[in-house]
Amino acid sequence: MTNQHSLRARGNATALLIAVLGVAGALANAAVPDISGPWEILRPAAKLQTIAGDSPPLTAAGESLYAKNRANAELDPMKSCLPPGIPRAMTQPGFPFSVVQGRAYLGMMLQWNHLPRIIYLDQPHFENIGPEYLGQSVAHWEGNVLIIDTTGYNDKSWLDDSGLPHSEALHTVERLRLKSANRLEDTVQFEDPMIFSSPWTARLLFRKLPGALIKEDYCLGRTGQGFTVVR
Amino acid sequence: MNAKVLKQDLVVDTLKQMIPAVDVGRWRARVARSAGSFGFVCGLLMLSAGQAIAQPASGPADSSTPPNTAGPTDIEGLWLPARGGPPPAAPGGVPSGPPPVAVVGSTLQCAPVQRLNGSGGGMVSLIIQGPHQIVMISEEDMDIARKIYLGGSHPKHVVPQPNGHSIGHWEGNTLVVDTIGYADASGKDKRQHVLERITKHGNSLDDSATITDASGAVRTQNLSWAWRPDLQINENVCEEGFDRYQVINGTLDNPNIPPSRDGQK
Repeated sequence: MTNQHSLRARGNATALLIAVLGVAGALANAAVPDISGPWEILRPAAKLQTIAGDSPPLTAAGESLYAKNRANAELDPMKSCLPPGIPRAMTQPGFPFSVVQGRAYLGMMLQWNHLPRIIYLDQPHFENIGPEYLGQSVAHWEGNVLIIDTTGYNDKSWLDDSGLPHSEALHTVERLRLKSANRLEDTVQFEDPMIFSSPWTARLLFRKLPGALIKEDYCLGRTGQGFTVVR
Repeated sequence: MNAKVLKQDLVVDTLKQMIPAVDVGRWRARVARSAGSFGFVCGLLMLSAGQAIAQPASGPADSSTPPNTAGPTDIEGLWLPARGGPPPAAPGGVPSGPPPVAVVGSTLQCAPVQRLNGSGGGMVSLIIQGPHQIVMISEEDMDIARKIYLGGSHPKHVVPQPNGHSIGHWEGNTLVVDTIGYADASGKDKRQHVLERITKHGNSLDDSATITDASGAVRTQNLSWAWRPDLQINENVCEEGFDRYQVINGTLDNPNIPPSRDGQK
C-alpha cells in the first residue's frame, strides 16, 4: 500500500496567531502529569456500560445493528485482525499499551497487532484522508486532565466485545487522568446520533505494569491465519 | 500512489518547536530550577527567543520546508527518507518493503517487516520522543513502531522479535541506539547486533548503523531523513488487503471474512 505526499501553502497571519496560541499552550502545559509507561485494563469486560451501570441508550437503528452483531460473532472485525477501534483496542486483556508523552504528540503503543494510537497535542482537528479505525485524536491538558477529542472514525469496528456498533458520526471525548501513581482513569463520552439516542459516558480504569515491555504482536501470525514466509 | 492530504500546519509545527509545549521531563527540570513561576516564564520566553535565533537552517535544500528550530536533541516529528532509498532487506530475515499482496501458492500476508536501522522504507515515519522512550512509527511498515527505551539496559533474557530490543542514550547531540534480539522467520534469535548513531542536522536526520552478524561480519548502513512537517501519517491496515487477496491452501478464499463484508471481494 503506497501513498503520495502533497503540500499546502501557509500564511504569515496564521503564523502569528499560532505563535500566540503556542505560548499560551506551553504555559498551560508547563507542569502536566507524567502518564507515560505501560498500562493494562484493570477490569476487562465484554460489554461497555454507562457510569451508572446501565446499557448504552440505543436508537432503533442502533438496536437493530447491535442485535445483528450479537447474533453472528463472525461479523466481529477483530476476527479478521482488523483494528478494534477506540476504546476497544485499549481494553483487550493481556494486551497492554505504552504511553509515550512527547512534545507535540502523545502515543499509545498498543500491543494488540502493533497498533499505534497517535494523539496530536494542542492543535485543532485537521483535514485528512480518513475515516480511520482509530479516528483522528487531538488533545490538550486542562490542569491534570488530558482531554482527548476524536472524530473521523470509520464504521468498521465494534465499541466492545459484545458487538456494540457505531457509525462514522461517532465523536468521543475522553478525560484521562492519573487517579494514583498506578491507576489511570479514562472517562469516555460517546456521541453518535445515528446509533445512540443520547450521549453517554463510560469509565475505564487501567493499572500500571512497571517494567513491562510491549511486544511486537502480529494478529495474523498469532491466530494462525497467516503467515508462512516463502522464499 | 494515492493522494495524501496535508495534515500538519507548517507554521504550527515550526512555532511549536520554537516553544516546546509538552515535554514532561524537560519542564519538570525547568520548574525545579527556576525561582517560582515568574522565573519559569522568563526562562521560557528567553529559551524560545534563543532557539529562534540560534538554530541554523541546514539539511537537504528544500525551499518549501521551514527550518527545524527545535533543539539538536529534539528529533520529534515527521520524517521522510531523503536519499539512498529504503534500507535493504535484512539478510536472512523477513523481506522489507511494503507488505506484498499474496501470490497464488504462497501464504505470505502482512508479515513482519524488519528494519535494521531507521524506519519506514520510502514512506513517512513519525517520531514521538518521550522522557523514557522514543518511538518511530512507520506508515510503510503497517504502522509498526520501533521502540527505543532510554537510559536502561537490555533485559537479561531478550525475547527475540522481528525488530529486536532497542535501548538508547544521548552522547552529546547524538542518539546512540543499541539493538539485539532480532528474530528470524522461525522466531529464533539471529544473534545480530546493530549500533546506530542518529544525529540531527537542521532539517536532516542522519542514521548511521553498524551491523554485526552472528558470523562476526560487520557492515555499515546509512540512512538520511528529511524533516517533513507538511506530511501526514495515516493508518496502513494491511489486513484489509489481506482478506481480499489471500490465498489459503491454493484457494482464493477467506473463511474469516464476515458475510457483511462480501462487497469488498
